[in-house]
Amino acid sequence: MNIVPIIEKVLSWIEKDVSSEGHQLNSERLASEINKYLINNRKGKDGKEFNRLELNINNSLGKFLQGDELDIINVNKVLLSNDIDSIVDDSSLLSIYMQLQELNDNFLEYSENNPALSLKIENLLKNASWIGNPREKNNAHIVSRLIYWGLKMKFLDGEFAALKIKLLVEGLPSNKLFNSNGMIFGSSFLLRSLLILVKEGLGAEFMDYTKDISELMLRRLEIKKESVVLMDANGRNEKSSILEHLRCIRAVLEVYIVFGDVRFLNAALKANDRIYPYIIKIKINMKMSSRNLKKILISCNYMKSIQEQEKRFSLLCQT
Amino acid sequence: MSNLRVAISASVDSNLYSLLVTQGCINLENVEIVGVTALKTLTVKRLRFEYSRVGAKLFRKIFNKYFNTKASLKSSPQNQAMDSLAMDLGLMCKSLKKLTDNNNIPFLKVESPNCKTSLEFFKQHNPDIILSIGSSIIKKPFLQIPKHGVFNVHMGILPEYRGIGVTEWPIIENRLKDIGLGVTLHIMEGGVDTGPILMKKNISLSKSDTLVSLESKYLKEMVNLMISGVQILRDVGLKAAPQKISEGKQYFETHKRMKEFAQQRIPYIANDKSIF
Repeated sequence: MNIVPIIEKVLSWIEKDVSSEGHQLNSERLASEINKYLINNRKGKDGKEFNRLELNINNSLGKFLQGDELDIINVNKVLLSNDIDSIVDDSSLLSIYMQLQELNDNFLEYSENNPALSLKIENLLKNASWIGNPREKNNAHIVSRLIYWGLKMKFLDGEFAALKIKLLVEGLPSNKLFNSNGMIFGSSFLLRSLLILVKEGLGAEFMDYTKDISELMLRRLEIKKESVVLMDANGRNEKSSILEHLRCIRAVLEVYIVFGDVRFLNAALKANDRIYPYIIKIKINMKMSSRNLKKILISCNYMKSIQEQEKRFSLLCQT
Repeated sequence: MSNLRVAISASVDSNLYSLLVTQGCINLENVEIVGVTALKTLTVKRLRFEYSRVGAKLFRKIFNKYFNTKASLKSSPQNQAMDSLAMDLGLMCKSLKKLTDNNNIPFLKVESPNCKTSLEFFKQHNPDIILSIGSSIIKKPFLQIPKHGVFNVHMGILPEYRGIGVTEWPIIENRLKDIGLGVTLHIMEGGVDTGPILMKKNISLSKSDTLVSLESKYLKEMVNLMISGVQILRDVGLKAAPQKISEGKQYFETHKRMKEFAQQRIPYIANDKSIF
């Protein structure tokens, strides 16, 4: 009896090769589940009433799936009318809302600076450090998220952001991004803010630093080959770590876009394959619970990452 | 003129690259091979190391090597080219143990180049140089043993292409005109492919090449470069140029789609006529 074909089948199963088609099918499944969720959670359906932020989340989700433009004035209103401290918690409605908005690439120009937000950032920075005490770390995290969203959605002045980010960079030497406890949770927002500044020509003084932490991120992904990058204690649980990991993969893709270094696209391809087994297990139900919304957020980040990866790989193949 | 004392830290006993380099050094006059070590094949430590490098693909590697004879490509053109090199060098054995026994060279199987037995073996034979064959990470105590250092041939052009997958990376990055494909003889240091450079050799890329056929081109040049390095050290000495690390990058294993992309690109960027 020839057992070679049987062993071949077993080996293929062990290797669990993930194909681009596998990613596409998974993305389509998640999009379909989110659509079902949206249909089931229309305003007033079955007598349900949601608060304003929950309704905005559904609205953002619809926009993300349809690729619609972002209503930046609404973003500002929501951001400033809520308790801004909750944005570091990926399960909070405000954080979910902001992260869903960020996934949309088409932003309406909003040239006016946002004085209330700028003041908030200024105040937080007085007591913020990525390697300080828990309160300072928390403030650094809030500021990094606010600056990133502000830059991405264009409601924060670039020069102001560059000045403020300089203070954050001084508080996080590149070699401290990773430590024995893992990566500093939330620092992906810092790297992604730096990348926006470099891309827009406002980050000349951060160029070396940005390249340094990009290289460290690449090494971490390539050498440790973790399915999900180990996060420090602030990662709290697996779902948060997966979310931050996906933000890191998106950051790695953004490094490729900004610096044109193909090693980063290669790392993203492998990292997306490694996270696939976690994503395939995600099932979105119809409940508007924080837990379910977090799963939706993870799914949207994954879909965005795959979409960007495929676009960039296809462009590379045309060169 | 006293003999140059050469030791060899080889890969596994049947490894072709190790066999060819060892035979090549045996053929050299005024070169004495003072000892050869080969890695034990299926130790837990080695399997763990390999698993950390290639993941689940390790099982396929073991299967193809030991059980699936059809996958070993015994009659492929690449292997025919290697057979011809083996014939040129007069290599008749398929085992390092046998080759060293036939030539009265001390031989030892070790778990890793850095293990205690390996270190004691090399210290005892007091080599001028050690030739490192294989991709093991070499630690400081090992590097300090030979008088002139540990030689390694890297499958890429240094300082630009450090790390692994560097046969494909210059193709992916379209750097054949300014950097090219090739191999580099260097002295090993603590970092990944960061040691001083001794010699380089470019390799041409033909339109008909595949990533698999390139492997045999590389293997041939790696053997020749290592033997040339020993010859030149024996005759006139070698000057090593420190690497400018900032001129290169560390590369990592390519994703299978990147490999396919590199393969598809070969006919469009082949440089066999324009450069060589």
